[in-house]
Amino acid sequence: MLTKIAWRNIWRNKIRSLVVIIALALGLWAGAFSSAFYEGMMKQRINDVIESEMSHFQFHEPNFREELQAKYFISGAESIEADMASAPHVIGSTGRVVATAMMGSANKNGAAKLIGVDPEKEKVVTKLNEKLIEGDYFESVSRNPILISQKMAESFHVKLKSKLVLTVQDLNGEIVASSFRVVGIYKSGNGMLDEVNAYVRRSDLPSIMSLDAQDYHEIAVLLDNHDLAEPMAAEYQEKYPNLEVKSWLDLATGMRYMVEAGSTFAYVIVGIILIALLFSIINTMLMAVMERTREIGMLMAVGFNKRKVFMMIMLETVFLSMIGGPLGLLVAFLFIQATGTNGIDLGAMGETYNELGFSAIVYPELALESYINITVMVFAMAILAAIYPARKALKLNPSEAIRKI
Amino acid sequence: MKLYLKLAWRNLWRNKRRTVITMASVFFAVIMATLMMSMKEGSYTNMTNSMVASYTGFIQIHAKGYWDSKSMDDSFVFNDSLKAVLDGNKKITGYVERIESFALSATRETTKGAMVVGTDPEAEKRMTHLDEHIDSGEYFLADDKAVLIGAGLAEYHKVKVGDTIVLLGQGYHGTNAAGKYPIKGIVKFGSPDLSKQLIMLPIKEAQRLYGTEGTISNLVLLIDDASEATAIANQLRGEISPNLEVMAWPDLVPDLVDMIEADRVEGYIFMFILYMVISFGIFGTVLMMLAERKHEFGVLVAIGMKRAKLAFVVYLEVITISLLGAFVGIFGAYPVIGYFFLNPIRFGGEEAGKMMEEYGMEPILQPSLDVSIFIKQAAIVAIVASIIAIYPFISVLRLSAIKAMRS
Repeated sequence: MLTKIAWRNIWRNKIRSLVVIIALALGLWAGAFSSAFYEGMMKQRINDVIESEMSHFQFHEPNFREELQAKYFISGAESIEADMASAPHVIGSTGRVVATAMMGSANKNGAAKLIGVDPEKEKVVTKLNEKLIEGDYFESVSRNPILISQKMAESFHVKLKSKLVLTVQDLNGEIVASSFRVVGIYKSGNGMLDEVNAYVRRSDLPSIMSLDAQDYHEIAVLLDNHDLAEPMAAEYQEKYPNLEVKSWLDLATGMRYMVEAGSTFAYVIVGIILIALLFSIINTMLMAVMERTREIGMLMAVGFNKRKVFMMIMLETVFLSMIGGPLGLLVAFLFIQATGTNGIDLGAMGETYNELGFSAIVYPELALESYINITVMVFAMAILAAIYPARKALKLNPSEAIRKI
Repeated sequence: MKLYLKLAWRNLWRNKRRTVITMASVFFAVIMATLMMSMKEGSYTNMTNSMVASYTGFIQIHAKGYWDSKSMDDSFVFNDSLKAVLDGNKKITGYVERIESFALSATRETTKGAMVVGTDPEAEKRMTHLDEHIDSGEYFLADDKAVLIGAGLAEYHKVKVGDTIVLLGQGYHGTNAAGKYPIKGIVKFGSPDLSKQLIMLPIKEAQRLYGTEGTISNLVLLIDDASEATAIANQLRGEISPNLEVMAWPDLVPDLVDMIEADRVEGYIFMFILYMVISFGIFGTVLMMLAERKHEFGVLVAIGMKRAKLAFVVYLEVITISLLGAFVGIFGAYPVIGYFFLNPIRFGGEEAGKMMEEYGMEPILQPSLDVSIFIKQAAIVAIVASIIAIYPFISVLRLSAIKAMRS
């Protein structure tokens, strides 16, 4: 009986019900879309990190990443390369020589990270060749070519064919200087990397740094599936206990945090939105109860006890949530699908996005799990919001309530 | 007009409960919007403080070309006429002379590029409170032939207080700048970026090292209000020698400004979503109010009240409620945000700390107490509410007295 009364009450005053339904649907949409926007942004960043910076996992000598000295090269690089060539899911792997350097032009001295790459393999793993905006890919200069970023070119006042002097520490810790000629200028999506990364041919470095041709500091591996990065890194860590094998999650600072705890950020935002929703529902329901003073008083006068009145108002809220919830889900789903396909261009609002390694176009997307979480939270919010107005209704005095217009 | 205001005002107090509920929806909207915005702004202040206030300063003066080259060839003499201009400007409360250049720092085993900064220990103490950042060892004196080294760099070189470090760079007109210095203290900055690359020594010793007797490369100005930096810089530009350049902090740390800018854009999206939710909350309450008073409006129209006049009174009511709610909201938001200001949220976990450090800030989330945020958010909510008030205005204009009275 109570259910029937509650259900009828909803439809008797359509405007009021519609307000609550729309508030709920809007709240659900807002929560879901904020999360989707955040998740999309993170995913974009992860793809950028994997595809153009870190690949899926990398091999290093255990001390290398900490100290960056030439003597910490990987021993037995050949067997790793052979392993990678035959392993399943591996798209490509490449060995690099890495050194911190002081780079000097006629105008300026500054720090740089000198990366010796195998041009052909690097193409497959990081698509370095596609980032060129000027010059060519190690072709037009035969002796000691170097690729620098557009940022470096500007700050060091150099252009194609300019000479740069690179000072590095060799295998024995001696400081050696060598000149390179700019063959190309690149621009990656990440401004922070563009600040320091300079690429040379790996084959040019051994003679400068007194290394052997097979001494690499880093071997990067690209897979065909993001999810395999962690297990495969663990697998090869076991196989090569003397080396450090780490996935992109550990290589890029803050990445593991961003992925594992990053959703907390989204939840804080969703939390604020939901609390705003809570207050708007409380207000609307409170108005609804006040407006119905006479009606509720009448119900009480004809014998409805307090528990029943309370249950009736709670049931109304549940019914409203059951209509507003799915409606909101549907709208949120369609909206996220639409923006997820076309992308939202933040570039229009801030040109600086690329500088930080975030792509300017965000494709929102939301996992099923998050849809469920948010739906549950919105429902909980709606029920919570109904308690206060329902309690208020209990406090009405039937005889006074009826007298009111 | 006065009559309408009086009517609206009386209507408001006739049904206090309804007025309070509507006001509450505006009130909470202001609190939520302010909370979100002040959290964001607070994190930007944190970022700028750990970088700008502790090292770069809010305004710097250099010789033209120095900022790009960072070369000792582009140094300048801090002469009396420049001093007079700076002393004459009341907004400038102090300055530090510095020599800043890039050099290799080396120990027996390790070599690393470092930013070598010659500075005036006393002035630095006053301005950037460098002495408070000493992690171990002692602060240096103007006549010392010793250096302070960033904690990150010390870790890399595996050196401690009392060890020796070699500096190797390029001095004035291409001369070799080489020197060997004992480490007097290790400094820790809020920004790990700085900790990883800074070496500081007294300016006299730096001038000797780089062979730039009498000239300096950077003049760092101290001002009271960071937001005035750009205006003061513009003013100075006209007053000093055209061979010098004046830069305000947004130009000094463009990466930081970019980062803040990008984060702001992202914030706009979330703010927009929040505004949608709260404006519908207000709309819902207004709609309910209309429904509740239909009968009353019907009677008023029936006894001869002009619809336009009635609509205007209702419009005034909603506007008054919004303004009151927004105004009270400012005071309601203050304790909420004040609480988080006094008890900032600390980012849990090692990974969180690392990430924040990478971006050069302390791992805390502390909202800003900047009054302008409160006023701005209250104003936005009040404007949204007055746009919403158009709806009851129109719906009263279209009111049919008979239908309304029957309801």
